[in-house]
Amino acid sequence: MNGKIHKTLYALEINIFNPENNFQTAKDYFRTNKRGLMIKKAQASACDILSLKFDINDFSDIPKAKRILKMLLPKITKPLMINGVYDNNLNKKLLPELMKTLDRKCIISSANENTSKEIIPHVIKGKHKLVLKSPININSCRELNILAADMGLKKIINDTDTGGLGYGLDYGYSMIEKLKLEDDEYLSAPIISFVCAESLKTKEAQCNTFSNSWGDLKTRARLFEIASASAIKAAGADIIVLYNPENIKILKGLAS
Amino acid sequence: MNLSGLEIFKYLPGAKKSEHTNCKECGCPSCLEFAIRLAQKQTSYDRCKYMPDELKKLCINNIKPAQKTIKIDGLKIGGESVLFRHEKKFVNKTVLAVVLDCKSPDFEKKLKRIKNFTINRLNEKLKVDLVILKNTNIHKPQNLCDETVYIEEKDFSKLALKKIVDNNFEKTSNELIYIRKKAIIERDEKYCAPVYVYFKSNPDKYSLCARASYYICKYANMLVFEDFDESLFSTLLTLRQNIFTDPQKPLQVESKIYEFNNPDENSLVFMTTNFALTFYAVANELQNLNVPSYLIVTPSNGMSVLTAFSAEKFTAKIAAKTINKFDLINKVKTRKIIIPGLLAPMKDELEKALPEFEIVVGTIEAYSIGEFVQTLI
Repeated sequence: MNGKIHKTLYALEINIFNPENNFQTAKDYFRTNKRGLMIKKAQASACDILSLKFDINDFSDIPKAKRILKMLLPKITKPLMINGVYDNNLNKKLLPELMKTLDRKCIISSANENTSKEIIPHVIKGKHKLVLKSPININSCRELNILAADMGLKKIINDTDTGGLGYGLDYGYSMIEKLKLEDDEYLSAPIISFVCAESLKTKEAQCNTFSNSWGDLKTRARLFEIASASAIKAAGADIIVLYNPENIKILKGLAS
Repeated sequence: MNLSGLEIFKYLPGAKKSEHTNCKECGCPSCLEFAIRLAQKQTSYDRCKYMPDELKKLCINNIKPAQKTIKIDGLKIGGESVLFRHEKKFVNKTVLAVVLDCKSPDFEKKLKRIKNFTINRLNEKLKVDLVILKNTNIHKPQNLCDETVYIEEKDFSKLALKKIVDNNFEKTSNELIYIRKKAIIERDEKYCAPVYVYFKSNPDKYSLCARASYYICKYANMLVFEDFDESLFSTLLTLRQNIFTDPQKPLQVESKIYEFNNPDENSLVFMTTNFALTFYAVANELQNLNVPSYLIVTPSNGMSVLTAFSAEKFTAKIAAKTINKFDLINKVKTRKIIIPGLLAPMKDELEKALPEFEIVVGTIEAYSIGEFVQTLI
């Protein structure tokens, strides 16, 4: 009953294709758009996993994304995650191409009900782990897991989606709590949460137009990331993706 | 642990098909009905004379409240009855309290900051809930009437609350979880007092935020801070609002056409779902635009745009029905409806269902609406 709090892994995500699109709180930390330098700083940070996001705009960006990945791979020794784009059609092409460039086993993020058929065979071939993304719904998550298992995929991480802090975080929070209480082989995969990305997208974390009671924007953005990560840790998430390495240090400091 | 109707039924004569099966002496037509009513607390266990002692014991245990509720003026602390918010809901919001030492040279300044602190979110006015006053014999602050509750430390210390001083995150969180489980699952009276975590002065507000956020979720009934910081409190209150929503009742607003800045027949028309957070995010933007506009809110069971889309609670049919119901076509001359960026894949379908209108794909995030509107004008 007096069980230990479960261990959480913290991933640091960098928008590497388009560093200009990183959240301000990350830009304030890295203070450079040079990819090599960003990787160097990320390597020196407290993160357990390094996640590279490739937010390409169209198919013609794929060769450049591959070149960037190839150039950076030798500099990365942390466990690696590759994250694609929101657009299904782009992801179906982008992720398999990036997997062809990889020289190691990684976490690939992500496939959903519309892209799993195209993406899963490449994940199996490369012996990677795959993030399966389902909308906040336990049945959709289970169906997607069954589908992936039928295709032969064994290493699954679930992303059951969430709203950000103040904007429906409670939905993602309870989804994770419910999943952790289920005794079902198709719902037993570790859970990853991108809650911080959602929280950093909120107006509270982006805009300077709030009253003095909200404090200053820079501090608030950091606190929004920390509060969301800490709450989702309480819900039971196994991997939490953050954007400011200083915040990872704070969260990891809890354990000591 | 709360027993379900079927779990109760197992013990009753009806389930064992023994003597007194469905005797109706309890006033219910059958043992099963009695069991279901008892589970819903609509009847009392002593109405059944043939209940085995084992069940009687469980029932007596069950009517004891899991956790006591302590009241300070209008403020309620504790009274929780579940471990997970999805089981029912959390009842009394984690109280955020600040200690104010009237002996301290900067106490007036700190008091002023606390009094000035007000945030408005989702139609809720949020303040510091409680101020604990120390050393009032030296200075007694005046004019303490606002929404915040004030209590002198000597009175506060008499309340039946369990205190945990936060020195170590793992120790504190394990203790909080242990106490809550003892209170809820075992109904152990030794653990039924509401629990508060006491944070000593700490310049590292980021670490405070990480700890406090965790304890709001699991399982502090109150957090007491020696320091006061606006950004920390506004963040924690935002999280608290999320965790203490009723999961069975999605926050929703009425489905209708909302008006901003006195719109006329040529004003912009936006459309979104009736999830309160979505609505307020969009409404807040439209309110602050220099242009008048309408916002059509669809009946989508309080789901956000993407959830409603996935669950088919926002379909072309529902959108068309809403627009026709409110007679938009005769209300405005505008023939453009701006939809959330996340619904871009529905554009064609919507245009088919609403042949009189052109569907314009708007922004994914509400905060970009201002910029987006600039491109339209």
